[in-house]
Amino acid sequence: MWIKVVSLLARLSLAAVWLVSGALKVADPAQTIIAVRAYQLLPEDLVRPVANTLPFFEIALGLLLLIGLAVRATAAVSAALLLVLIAVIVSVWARGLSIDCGCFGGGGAADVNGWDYTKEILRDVGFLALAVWLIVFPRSPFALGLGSRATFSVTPQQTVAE
Amino acid sequence: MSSKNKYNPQPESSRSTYILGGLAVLVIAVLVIGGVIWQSNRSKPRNDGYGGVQNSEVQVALQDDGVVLLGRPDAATTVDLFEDPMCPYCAELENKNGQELAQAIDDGKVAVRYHVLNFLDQLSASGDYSTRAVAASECVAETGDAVAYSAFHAALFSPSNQPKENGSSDHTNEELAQIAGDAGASDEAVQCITTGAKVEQARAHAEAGRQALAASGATGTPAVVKDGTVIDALSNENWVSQL
Repeated sequence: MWIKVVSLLARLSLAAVWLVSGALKVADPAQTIIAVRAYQLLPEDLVRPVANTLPFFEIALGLLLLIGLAVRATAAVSAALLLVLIAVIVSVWARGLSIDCGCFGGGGAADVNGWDYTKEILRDVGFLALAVWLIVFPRSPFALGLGSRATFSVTPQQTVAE
Repeated sequence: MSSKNKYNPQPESSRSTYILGGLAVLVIAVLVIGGVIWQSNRSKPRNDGYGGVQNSEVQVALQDDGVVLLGRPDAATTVDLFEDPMCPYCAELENKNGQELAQAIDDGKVAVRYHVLNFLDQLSASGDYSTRAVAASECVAETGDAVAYSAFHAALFSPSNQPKENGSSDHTNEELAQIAGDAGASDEAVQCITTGAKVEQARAHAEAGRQALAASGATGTPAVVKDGTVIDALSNENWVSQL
């Protein structure tokens, strides 16, 4: 019983994370482009397409989790994306760059230190934990998908002959 | 009883679930694809393919306070544009509206007073990149070649040239001179940049520009000011056509 509750909480929390993160990026496209460019990982030709696409990809993940459709698959994709984001922050830290991650708005050069990077990574690890939980226990109440649905009470469909 | 006999009810397939699920996927797909297309159009350069200022009637002049006036003598209106060569948002503004502004200048719709500032000096690897870029801008403006100035200004803010804030490198005076030469600046301008002839006065001019920016009421760069009113150019992509 409590597994379903935790799954519901994890699903809704992770949905909120993606929706807020995506919406903040859509609201300020110039800053998103600057944020992506500041990582200095992509060739210039890819900076704009990634900056234009990533926010809507996050919103799609958030919407799927919100309505509870294909939760396990969405959680797996979320986990992969979070691993990439964590790796990218580690890369920036290792190269001695000083930038704002731009995960929830913001982005570009900023006055950040190792502790700020650690906090960002720990936060993303927390989100990753939510995603991993949902990969293992994707079923929760109030979900649309057949593989994502779990009810609090069980309605017997047919009698089972012993 | 072993656990294998435990009755585990699974949700049965139901048509309404498939319909709703399919509908949801469709709506989300439309939102994502539509959103990406909309976003790409929003950040695309306006009037792309036009290039820089091309009309030979356009003049460029270096004024006493270091302000560069670019425009036709009969231009309908004049705006002040405050930028710092290291400022990434200025580069975004240049990317989005630069070619549109060039055509407006060519058509005599507007003349631009460029105030190039240097407050981002400390974020540059060399410690004074912005000041030296201001000096380079003044060198090119002094030659009176408006086409070259427009091309050089665009090159200065292009993502391939603009140094990163807190970056590990920026451009030497020789490299700045190379960029100017490639943009069509005269040998005189190239020499002026390489020797750093205008760097000291650029420092003073940039400080004056910074005070002018503060006086205009704008909070940061890029700042577009027309008749004393600050125009929010970054959020209003139609600001050039509305001049």
